[in-house]
Amino acid sequence: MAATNALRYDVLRVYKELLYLGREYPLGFENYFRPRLHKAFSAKSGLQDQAEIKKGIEQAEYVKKEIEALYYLKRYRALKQRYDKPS
Amino acid sequence: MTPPLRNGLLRQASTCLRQQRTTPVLRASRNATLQRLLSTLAILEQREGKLNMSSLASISAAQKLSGPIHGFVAGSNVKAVAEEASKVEGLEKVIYVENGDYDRGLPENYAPLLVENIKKGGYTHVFAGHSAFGKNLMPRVSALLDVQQISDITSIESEDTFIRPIYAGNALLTVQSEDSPKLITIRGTAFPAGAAEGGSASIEEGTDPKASCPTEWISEDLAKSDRPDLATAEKVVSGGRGLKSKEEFDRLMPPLADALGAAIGASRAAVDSGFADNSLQVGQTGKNVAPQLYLCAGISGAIQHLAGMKDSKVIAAINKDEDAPIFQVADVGLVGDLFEKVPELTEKLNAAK
Amino acid sequence: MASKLRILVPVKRVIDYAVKPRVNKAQTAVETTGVKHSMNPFDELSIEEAVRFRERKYPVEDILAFSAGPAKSQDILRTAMAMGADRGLHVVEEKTELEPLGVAKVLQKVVEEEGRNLVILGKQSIDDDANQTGQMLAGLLGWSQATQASKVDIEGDSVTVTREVDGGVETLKAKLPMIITTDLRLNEPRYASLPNIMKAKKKPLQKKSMADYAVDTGKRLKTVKVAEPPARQGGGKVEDVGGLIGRLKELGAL
Repeated sequence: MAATNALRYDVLRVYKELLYLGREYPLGFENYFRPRLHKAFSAKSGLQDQAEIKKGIEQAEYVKKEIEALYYLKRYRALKQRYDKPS
Repeated sequence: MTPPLRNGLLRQASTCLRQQRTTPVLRASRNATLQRLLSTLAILEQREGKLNMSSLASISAAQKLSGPIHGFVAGSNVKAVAEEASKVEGLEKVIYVENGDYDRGLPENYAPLLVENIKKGGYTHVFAGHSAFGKNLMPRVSALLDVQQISDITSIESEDTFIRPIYAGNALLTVQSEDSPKLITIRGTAFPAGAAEGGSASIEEGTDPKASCPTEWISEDLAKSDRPDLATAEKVVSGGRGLKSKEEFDRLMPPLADALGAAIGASRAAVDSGFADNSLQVGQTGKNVAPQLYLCAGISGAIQHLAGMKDSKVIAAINKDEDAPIFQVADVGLVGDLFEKVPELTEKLNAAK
Repeated sequence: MASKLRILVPVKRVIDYAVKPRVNKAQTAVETTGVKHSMNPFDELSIEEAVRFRERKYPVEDILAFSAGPAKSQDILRTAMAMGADRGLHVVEEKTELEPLGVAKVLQKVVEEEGRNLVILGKQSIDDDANQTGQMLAGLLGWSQATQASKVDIEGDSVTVTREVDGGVETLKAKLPMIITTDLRLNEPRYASLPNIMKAKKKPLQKKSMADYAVDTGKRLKTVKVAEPPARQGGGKVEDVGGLIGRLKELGAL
């Protein structure tokens, strides 16, 4: 069905984006991030209900934002510490 | 005034050194010649007719070199500032330029002012503090003089060799320059400013090219405080969903907040779960808060909502998961069960009071 | 009618901020071989600001990302284009380490050749920490400058900048053309996502050599030595509550 295909595409897309994003994860990509990413998606691979799949994609998008925020805040704090005079 | 021969000799020396050709006369007595010819201009800062005492560090630094040290100051009613600066020991002269257009230190007209006075004085070294003023101004002067500035030095090894931090201080670079003049900003903490006493320098008016300044100073806010939201709290403790229930939130967080003299906050997840009132939610409005301490307990995810706390002086976290993302951002982390650690922290803080 | 913004954003490839710099055995430099590199974080702020001008509907005609350095600087330009720069210019320089004065001179030529009226630079690069290039360029061009900007508003040819100074902020007003350097607080740079990296491969990337610019970029400074400073305090996790209190006191939070 077209709807299912579109959803399938979205799931794959967000998976690839998370994989790309995870390369710089502080706790490690190969040993920490990638296995957990795989596990999280595998756990939901049996889902049939479209609403539930959409919810899963939303959750993945949320995680993407969380990771981006993590990278940003970690860097912000590091640079702030190094370059700002203590107030 | 500086004899023209001295200027020419120095410029010739620099050019020869750079081109790696030598003239016999110079070679034989190069060090001695250069030694005799050193002189430093120390750029001083003033604000509203008051000498900025930390800018005197330029003079302290200049004392590591031989040769006369002249101070320089510009602005409105600056003669009095020059007189105060003239009392700093080690200064031979203070040059002042009285013109209100220089009050805000705008580099567009201040740089040409310095170029004029540096050339006129034939200085071999020009020092300024690595302050907001110095950082903004000195490189522009360097470009106009076609020299490569050396920023934020922490040590003077010789008249041409300096040490400065690179990689945010993770490495120390010893660098040598053959430029003339040498334009240098100094790290104030490395060269403690002397007091304005014991000296008796002469005071002299400098040259004012009166370059136009296309930039307009509008306003300033030096009492800046990034502290709206959660009142003007200096300390904030936040609880997350890890507290498991409203009862536990109310049991653990207020005593800790009291022990710390902190305001209470809550993560979005905690608010959504009904553990805490909406008004306690941290970081929701995108407003920036900058307390001295932001301590969060039981907040494992929801990093995005920490963005509002990113200017806190110190971020600390207590969490039972050692891999929790919060530990990547926190300055101090304690891995442990918050039901054990939070009461312990409260108790120890109260005991120390 | 307001001038269109023709923006130049110089970016630099540096050792990634999260990597601990190590001095080489010969004590001549910080080790860069085999070490992760990224765009200078302050330069990311520059690209982000230019892209946001466009999103704020300022009349942005063109955002040109520039980098001078070895072949791998290209990666940084691709990242800049993935973030939203329209095209890239890579001035290839394999051997000489460029100094701020030399870079400023090349940038002056680029500004003139490319008819730029706004240059946004990072306030400093996290390797040499010089904090000079923007100011030098402004001096060479005779343009207005506003360094360590934390807020920029443009209306026609008039630019209002709030800049971070010791103990607070100050606000300046200037006219295009001008130079702005970025402070940490200016904006939150977007992550260069995979789809955008792909799209960026189609954007034009021009290569030139330093010789094409006929400027003197010879080194004025000589590195005598590079040393590691005395060991610094570690941060991070503490063992117990007592440790937590102690560390908070050390950091001045209690």
